[in-house]
Amino acid sequence: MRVSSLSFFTSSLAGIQQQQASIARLNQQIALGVRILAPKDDPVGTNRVLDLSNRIDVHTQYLANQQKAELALNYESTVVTGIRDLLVNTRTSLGEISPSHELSLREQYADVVAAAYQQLKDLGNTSDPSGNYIFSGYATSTTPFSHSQVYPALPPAASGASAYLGTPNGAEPNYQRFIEIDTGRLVQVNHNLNSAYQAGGGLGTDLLQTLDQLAINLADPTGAVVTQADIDNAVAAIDAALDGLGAIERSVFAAQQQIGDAKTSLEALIGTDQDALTALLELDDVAAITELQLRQTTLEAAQSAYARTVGLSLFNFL
Amino acid sequence: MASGIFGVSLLGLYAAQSAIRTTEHNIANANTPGYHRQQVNFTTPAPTYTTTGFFGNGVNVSSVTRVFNQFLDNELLLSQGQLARYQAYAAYAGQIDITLGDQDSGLSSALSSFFGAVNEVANDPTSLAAREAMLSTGRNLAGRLNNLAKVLDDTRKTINQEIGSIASQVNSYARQIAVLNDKIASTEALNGQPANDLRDQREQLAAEINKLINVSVITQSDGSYNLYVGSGQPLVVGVTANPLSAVSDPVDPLQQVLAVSIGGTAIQLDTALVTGGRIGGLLALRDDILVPAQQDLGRIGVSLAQSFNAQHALGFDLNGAAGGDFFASAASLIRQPSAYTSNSGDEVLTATLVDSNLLTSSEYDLIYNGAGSYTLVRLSDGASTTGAIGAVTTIGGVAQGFTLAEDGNAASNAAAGDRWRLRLTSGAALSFSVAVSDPAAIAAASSATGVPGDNSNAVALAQLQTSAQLSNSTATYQAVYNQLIGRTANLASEADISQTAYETLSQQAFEAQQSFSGVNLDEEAANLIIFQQAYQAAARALDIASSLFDEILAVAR
Repeated sequence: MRVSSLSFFTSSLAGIQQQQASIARLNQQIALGVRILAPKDDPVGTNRVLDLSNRIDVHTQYLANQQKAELALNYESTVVTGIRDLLVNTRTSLGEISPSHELSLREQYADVVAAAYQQLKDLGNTSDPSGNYIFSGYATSTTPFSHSQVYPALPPAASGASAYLGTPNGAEPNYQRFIEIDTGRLVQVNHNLNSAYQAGGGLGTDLLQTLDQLAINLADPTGAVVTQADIDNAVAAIDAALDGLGAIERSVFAAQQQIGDAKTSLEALIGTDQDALTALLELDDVAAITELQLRQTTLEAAQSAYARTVGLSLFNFL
Repeated sequence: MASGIFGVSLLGLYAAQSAIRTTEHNIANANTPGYHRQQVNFTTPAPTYTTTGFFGNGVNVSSVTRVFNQFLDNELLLSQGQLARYQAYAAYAGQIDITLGDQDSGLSSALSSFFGAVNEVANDPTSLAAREAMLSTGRNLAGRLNNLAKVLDDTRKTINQEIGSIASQVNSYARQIAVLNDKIASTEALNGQPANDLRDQREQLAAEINKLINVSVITQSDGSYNLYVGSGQPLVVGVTANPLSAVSDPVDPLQQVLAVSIGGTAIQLDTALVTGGRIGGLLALRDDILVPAQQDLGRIGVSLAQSFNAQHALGFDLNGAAGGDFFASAASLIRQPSAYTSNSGDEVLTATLVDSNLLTSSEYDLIYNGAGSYTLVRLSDGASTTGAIGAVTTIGGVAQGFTLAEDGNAASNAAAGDRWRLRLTSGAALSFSVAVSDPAAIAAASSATGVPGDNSNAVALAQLQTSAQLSNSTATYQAVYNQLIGRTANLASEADISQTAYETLSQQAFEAQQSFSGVNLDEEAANLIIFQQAYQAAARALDIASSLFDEILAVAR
């Protein structure tokens, strides 16, 4: 077949240019360590990559949410444990009190009860490092437990009812804070301590009022005001509080379990997805470098052939 | 015509000279684009009758012709035209593909950062820092959408400019062809011989035009060489070149199309028939990738604005006020229907967003049938519905997510046959923005005053990321974006493959054409030797004939 001089050169050149383009692309892939340089290089693979990236992203966000939830719950749990210990100790002390004790002993116990009262109020009004009250539900800038301490009162006076100023327990997820730890799964991270502190209301269930009243009555110099009923009321209030606390502790524990489970499964999912993603994106270095060497050799051969044939002309012999 | 022993050799010399001259011409033009090698055609003139036999009368150069094969040249023309089309398409498609899919410029990272910040507000609604982060990632998201839309819009403008410059380039080639038509006709009339080099030039110009826009070349037995574009509009007829120009598309004034001016009237070229050359690639890219991408990005913006704002409005901010629009309202992002410039009526129609969840990325055509009846056609699949203006936005029983209305002005009315093009979401991504600037105004709470710790609305806002808010509740914002990337990647990849295929086809067509019509320098070198020897032989013969004459003269002395 006849070959024109022009097409002879253009076809050799086309071959060389193609090899150069392939080598340039391989260089870029190797330099970046990535197989897919642009979505059009592998549309199907890119689709998969996008799906995996999205999923990893969403799961990682849930892990961050879980961490926040855990922090809140751990903080709450620590405070609740402190309250429990305090209540148990106070209950033990109450067992030692008798209305028939002499004044100096009764005054001592009054101080103990008053101190317990104060500490319980402080613990109930705990705020987190940002200054938000953790037992107020949604009303994080409002002090949850309000009670005017009447002790010491001489002569003894009646202590008023305590008030809870936070948001109540409502239908989930209202009024107490929930955090989403996985798709559609919410855990409660704030609990209503009022179910412990005001289990009913009135002496025997209103913890702060009952303890305050007991301290007032114990400190009475006449010794005639304090009765065994006062002590029994205090014990009852503490028992009710411990029950309420128990419910909260169980809820916190359950939430922490849920978070732990969700964390484990999400971390595993993220791991699997990440592996798949790496497999899709990562360049097989060995294959790439081998291909590069092959194409380099081919390019050199093409260039050498071009150099040899370009000088072939009949005019050289005329 | 010379005869006799001198005459015959003279003719031989002349023939050899012509052949050498043509060979020199071939050698000189070995690299000229569009050159077809020329050859001298020899014939013998009529012999002289004598009683002792017929004596030949030398050699005639009957013509100089091109070695030309119409079929091979056509194949080359076609494949180069298609190559130019796919080169243009692939170049732009590759740019858009990488812009959309890139980690840093694409939408995905901005979208996920924003929802990450929404989650942080849900985790800690009283934190002003978390709220500030939500505002700044929101602005970042808006900025990213704006940038992507701007890249697409800039591409739209560049394509418009290219159409204009291609039109003027084609016009300059066409004028040159018209001039050549005149020259060739008049010079060929002089001696009836083909004007080889002029024809080469003319065909080369036609090939250049074909790389810009596909043309049909019609040659006729009377020698006319005419070019037609589109559905048969004449570009060059004889010595008349009809100029192309870029005009506003009657369908959408933001884009340009080509029109050819015949006798002073501009006739728009049917886009469906402009399929080859650079322009074919640009128009196809605009319809296949650019406009759908603008619509899709816009749809994401509209849906994000509407659904996020709707949830935000259900909540209360840190000051106890009900949530306002977080993003600029979705209604403000909708692009109004654009009346075809060919309409005879002057009715103005407005489109109102109803439910972004039901919006599709398709364009629509609205046609007025007269007597208050309109037909809405969904261009992606051709489905349509007919009815009054208020009822025509449900196709196949499925509401399309928007409503239409006339402007209520009795003075402006539609004429039967008037049309509007609806590209409702194509401008949304460009105008998308955050409307809130005060972090306290983020409505994280579901209940009013005094409850700063209420995060339940923020939780609901965060859940929008994973809930299907688009495409009739089948896709999330990210999913629609991924579909856009995927579709663009597929088209760009196909274009690349086609480009490679046509590079090979063009190369093969070129080699085939060249093997027939191209100059081979070695062949020309051999020809030089042949004709040089022929010349030498003829000169020698002349010398001998001359010496014969001297003999005769010597005898007479």
